Amino acid sequence: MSLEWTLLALRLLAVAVLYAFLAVVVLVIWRDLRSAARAQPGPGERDQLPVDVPAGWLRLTASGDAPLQAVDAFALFPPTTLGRATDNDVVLLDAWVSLHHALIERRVEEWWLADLGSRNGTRLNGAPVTIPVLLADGDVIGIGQMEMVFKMQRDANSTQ
Amino acid sequence: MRPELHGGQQRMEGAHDSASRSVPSTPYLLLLAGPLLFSIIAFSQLSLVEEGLVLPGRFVPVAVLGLCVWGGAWALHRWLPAHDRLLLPLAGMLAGLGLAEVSRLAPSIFLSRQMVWLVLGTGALLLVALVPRSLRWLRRYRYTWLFAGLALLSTTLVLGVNPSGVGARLWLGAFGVYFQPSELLKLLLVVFLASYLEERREALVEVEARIGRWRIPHPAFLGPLLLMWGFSIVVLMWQRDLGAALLFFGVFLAMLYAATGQSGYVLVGLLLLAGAAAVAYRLFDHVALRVDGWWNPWSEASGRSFQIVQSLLAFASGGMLGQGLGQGLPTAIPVVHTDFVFAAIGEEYGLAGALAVVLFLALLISRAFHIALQARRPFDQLLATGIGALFGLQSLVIMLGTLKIIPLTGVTLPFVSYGGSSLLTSMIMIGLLLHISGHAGGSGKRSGVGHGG
Repeated sequence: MSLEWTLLALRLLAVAVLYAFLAVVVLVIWRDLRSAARAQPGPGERDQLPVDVPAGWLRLTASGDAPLQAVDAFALFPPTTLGRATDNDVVLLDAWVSLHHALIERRVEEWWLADLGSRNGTRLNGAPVTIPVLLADGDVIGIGQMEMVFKMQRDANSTQ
Repeated sequence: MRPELHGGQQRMEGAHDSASRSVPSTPYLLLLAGPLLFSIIAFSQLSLVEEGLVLPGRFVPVAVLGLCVWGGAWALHRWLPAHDRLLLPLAGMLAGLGLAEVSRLAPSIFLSRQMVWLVLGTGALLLVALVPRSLRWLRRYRYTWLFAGLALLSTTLVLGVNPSGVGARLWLGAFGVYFQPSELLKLLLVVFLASYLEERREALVEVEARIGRWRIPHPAFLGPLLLMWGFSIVVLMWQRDLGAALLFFGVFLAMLYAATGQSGYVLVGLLLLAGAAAVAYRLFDHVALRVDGWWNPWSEASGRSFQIVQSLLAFASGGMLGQGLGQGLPTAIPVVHTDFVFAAIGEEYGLAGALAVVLFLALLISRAFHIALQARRPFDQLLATGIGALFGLQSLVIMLGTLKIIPLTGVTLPFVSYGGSSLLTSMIMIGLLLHISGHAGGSGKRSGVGHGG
């Protein structure tokens, strides 16, 4: 085999190796995503819970001098939005609450609380929430003058 | 801090899961073989072109690279089982390409130096990644890091040299070894900003600065914004280091946005940057030279714009599959082994090779942001975001610069360009990402190690 042909072969081989490597990287990422998707229940399953059983509860424990709420406990069917506007899942009647204030969602088997850019902020056990934070049973969520205790459904917690 | 508690619990589960898998999966072994295979081919090509036959002595860099990649992978697998498994192979692939290019483009002493730096960098990577404690020590001593960085920088202002004799004096030199502090300073700055922004985020409970009806940026954010802006200007003016100034400020804006989620700060920052750029164009010759050479290089193609024109010619002659390593003329470009290594890749590996480099870097950066999303502690999240932004901006600035899409600023292409300080800093950043990904708790379980319970 002449030098020229060897060099041509090496040249093509080099490019082939570069893209074979990329293909394996994509394969690994795809496998990761697939296993994550398998761990995460599909839409409608909602963590293996029947749709009409709430996955958790919020109980109002303090509301300052905000107007009285019609109910003081809210069932959570994540993702749950909280705010003053009536299209929220949990409507909070308080002037300190933004229209779309906060969001509670489930990722895999964890509860997360996120602030939706509210004017007066969201608190978790007194600390401000600026990036999504993990929720645990018994956490106190503060929104405006209101404070709510977060309760997990026991079953929802132990589906693993 | 609750997230830490949670992280702790899940970390133990994750570690248990992974420890039971003592043998890495086949795709992972293939990934680790990639850098070796590629550099074996590259150094065979170089040896054939330059000597006419394959000399065993030419494969020393392959052995060094193999030692770094496989040794590093073994140590990580042993002591940090839940780490992100794509980072090391990707960095290894880029470093392999870098060694081949240094060997191709620069005198042989440069290759030896680069190999030493690669070994040192791997050591630093493992040291940072395997530190058993959380990264709290990094967070706690933020002002120490900041002032250490600034002290390094001011030392260069006084004692700085340039190894090639002319140009910006950005290096500290002793006994023939040169170190560029601004490379390390970038990382120190990311650490400081992650720590600072994380703390201020908490201090901003329900306080809000207002003038009349309008909300104004909070002083806690506006202050550092102006400070960083001024700092970048100083770097630009005294050191004439356009690239570093741009990176400092860009990374700062990215992290500020990640911490606050408010695009207003970014807008203000970009306006400040635009203002500074306009003034710099008027005041500084070296800035005006870059911009004019970008706008119309052809009027002085053999004069002041020689470099960028040669770079464009290199890309053009590369075509789809390139000339083959060692068979083009990339050395026609001045300082091709640092700032213009991407043009050399474009010429000898063609569009295919250049695109592969872009994809490697993009994957590396996407892993950094992925790790940021999976991290539990705000400081870790901000740190990973900052590192991703730094890699991203740096790669973009130099690749777009060599392609004449934006005015050229001299920064290194991570892992590929010749340069010890840059390689060392990049390796430390990968080490930090590995550390964060290895301690992210649930992430190890979630991303492919299997969902046991």
